[in-house]
Amino acid sequence: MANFTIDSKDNRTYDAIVIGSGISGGWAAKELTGKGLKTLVLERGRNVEHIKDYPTTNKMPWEFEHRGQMPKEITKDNPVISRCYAFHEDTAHFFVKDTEHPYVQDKPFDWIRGYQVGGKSLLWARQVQRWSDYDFEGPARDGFAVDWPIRYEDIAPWYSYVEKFAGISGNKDGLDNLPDGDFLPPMDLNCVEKYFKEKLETQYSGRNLIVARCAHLSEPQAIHLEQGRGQCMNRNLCQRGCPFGGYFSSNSSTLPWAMKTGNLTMRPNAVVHSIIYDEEKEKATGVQVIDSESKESIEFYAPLIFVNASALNTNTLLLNSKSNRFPEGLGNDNGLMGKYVAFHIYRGKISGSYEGELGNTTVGRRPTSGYIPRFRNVYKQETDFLRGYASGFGAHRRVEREYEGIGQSLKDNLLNPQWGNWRVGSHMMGETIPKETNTVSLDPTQTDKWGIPLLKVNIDYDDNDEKMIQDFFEQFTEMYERAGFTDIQTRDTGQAPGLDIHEMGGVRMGKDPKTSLLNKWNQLHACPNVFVTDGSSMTSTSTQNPSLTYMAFAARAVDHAVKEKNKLNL
Amino acid sequence: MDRRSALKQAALLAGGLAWLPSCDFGPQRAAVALDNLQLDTDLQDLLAKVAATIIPSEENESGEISPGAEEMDLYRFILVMVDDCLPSEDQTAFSNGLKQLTLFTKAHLEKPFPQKEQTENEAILTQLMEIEEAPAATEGAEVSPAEQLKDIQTFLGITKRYTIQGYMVSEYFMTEKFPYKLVPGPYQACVSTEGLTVM
Repeated sequence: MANFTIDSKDNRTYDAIVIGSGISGGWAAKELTGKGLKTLVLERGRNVEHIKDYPTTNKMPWEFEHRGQMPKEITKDNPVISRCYAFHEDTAHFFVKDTEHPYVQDKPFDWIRGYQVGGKSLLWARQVQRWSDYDFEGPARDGFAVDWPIRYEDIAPWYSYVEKFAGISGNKDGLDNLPDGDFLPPMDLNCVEKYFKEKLETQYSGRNLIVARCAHLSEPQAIHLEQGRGQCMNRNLCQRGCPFGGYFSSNSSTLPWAMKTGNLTMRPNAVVHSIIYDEEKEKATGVQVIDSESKESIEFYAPLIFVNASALNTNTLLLNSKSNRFPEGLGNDNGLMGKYVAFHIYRGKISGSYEGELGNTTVGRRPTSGYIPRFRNVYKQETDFLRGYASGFGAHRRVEREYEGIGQSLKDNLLNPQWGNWRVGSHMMGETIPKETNTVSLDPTQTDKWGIPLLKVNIDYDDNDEKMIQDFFEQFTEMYERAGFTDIQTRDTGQAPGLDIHEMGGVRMGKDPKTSLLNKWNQLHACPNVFVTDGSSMTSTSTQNPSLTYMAFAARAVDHAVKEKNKLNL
Repeated sequence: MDRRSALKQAALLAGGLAWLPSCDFGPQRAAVALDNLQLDTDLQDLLAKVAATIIPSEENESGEISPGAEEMDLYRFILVMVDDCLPSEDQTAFSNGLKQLTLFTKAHLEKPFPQKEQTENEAILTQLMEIEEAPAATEGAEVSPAEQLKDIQTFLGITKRYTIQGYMVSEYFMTEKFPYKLVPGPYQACVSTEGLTVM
């Protein structure tokens, strides 16, 4: 391809290429550069530098023109992103607007994306619960998807490895369904959360309430200070980007760390069109990139390629990487790529009041909440649906104001609020069963502005999901009643899949190349110098927030790749 | 955009003047520029009067001013929110209601809005918000009193909502009254409410 601004092929050749700079790509970059590999990180979005590019981070609430609300002009044309809980006037610049990057919804699917250096690691909810063998053994035990090619013991040391560097606040709770990790001091549960914990744990066996583990520096260690990060100040304005580096993001942690090695080349505005496969060498040799600003097409080369484009975009990229050898997409010999996509059910919510602890309240803010690990079907199948759900739990003291009337009396009322009851609430995080019918594929005719086919999404809830939602309502209503909560209300948000922002699969790991795409080291079975370590690689979804597991897989895969490279197997 | 820079100037002014009670608006005052609403300076002044009636300023015995909608220029915030964030049917009702306000009160109430005294204005707006049955139509009127009243009540509801929001998310409210901390420090999970500011 004619290109005069790019010099020789040698200068476009690296030891490794990482596609995507989000939470897993950042880890791949850190590990590769740390092991001495000259690494090119390609990011389709713009550059976002830690602190410098957080324009709203120190703004006060009254400094936002619409006090946080998004103008109608934007919400009208961008209904999907406008449904995201974190999309507001202070964060909107980090989210992809629907109109900027269209996709095809065969069924409603809210695809939440962050195209910039750091990706969604700037925006995530920072919840980092480990998965356990009750998750990794799930498909084999319950007969769905395929067996995971790994077990907890394979990933456990890598959980520790990433936890120590990222900095995870958590309590050692000693629960076998939610393994402990290498934690910084935990955040505190408040008095009503402790009250509910006590009620729950004495009234039920196997139901626990803990403070959720979160990627915040509750007490920074030397390794965190060395990253230039400091103590979490409980601002709870994380999605604006944190000037203290109090929470983990690629921008605050892995990418600057990788940069310090001198081995990292960052290239933002680089949309990867496809991975280049060399039929003689029988391996991938590089990537074809479109510069989103100059529209130039450029090729970059490396013997090792990490795909961390985010779950669904990784599917798009691999499906679009067609060659004579792989007419249906790179590594897609069995035709299963893009299938068995799954997600988490966030539809169920419940709230109530508590009329005790009226002499107490909380002061300040806390960037995490209570967490109730999965208690359904953990040790054996016990309901008429498969798997189960974890749940959040939070309590806060209500402040009540009278808004009647106008004039001086109204003003006096606004200036003189009264303490109300405590309000309590939970939301479910349900595991879904990966199915062949839940798919993503390339649209046969429509393309984006760079000629890349649009992604077509065909994902829906099923009967198992509906039963699980009902069970959440029933169980939590009972648990709330038994705790003496009043005014209990359940709500099915009816939200489409995707809004959970935990879409996974399509390029699943497995033991058998006939039924999976990746091996136990996250290598494409049919093209082993390509590693996929983002959400697309997940065989099943567990109930726990998946980012920590992506990070651990990325670090583990790099370790394996470099060992293999040194043995000249790659 | 004109409106944006006008707002910024207003914010600067508000900060610089530190809640001095303002006099009537001078003749030089520029209207807030809007994308969807068409409201001239007089109507914007009338809106400011409504907002100031909903949340008035007051002076205590020692001469300190507790600022209200007028000192905070909340009519600007209300206009921005209505113009940018409301569906067009609400924008139309808001504009119509504002435009009909003086006419309607002149025709159907004892005194037209606005009056000089806060108490009189409060009484008029309260009465307007509470009327359940519209007055009978007068001959030759273009818009029926029922339609007028409906729009006026929608207008007053919207204006009250945004006046309250603008007041509670103002620098004054969030620094002087209920201090918002950008960097709050440690989370205290269980604290006695004794002696604490309710917030």
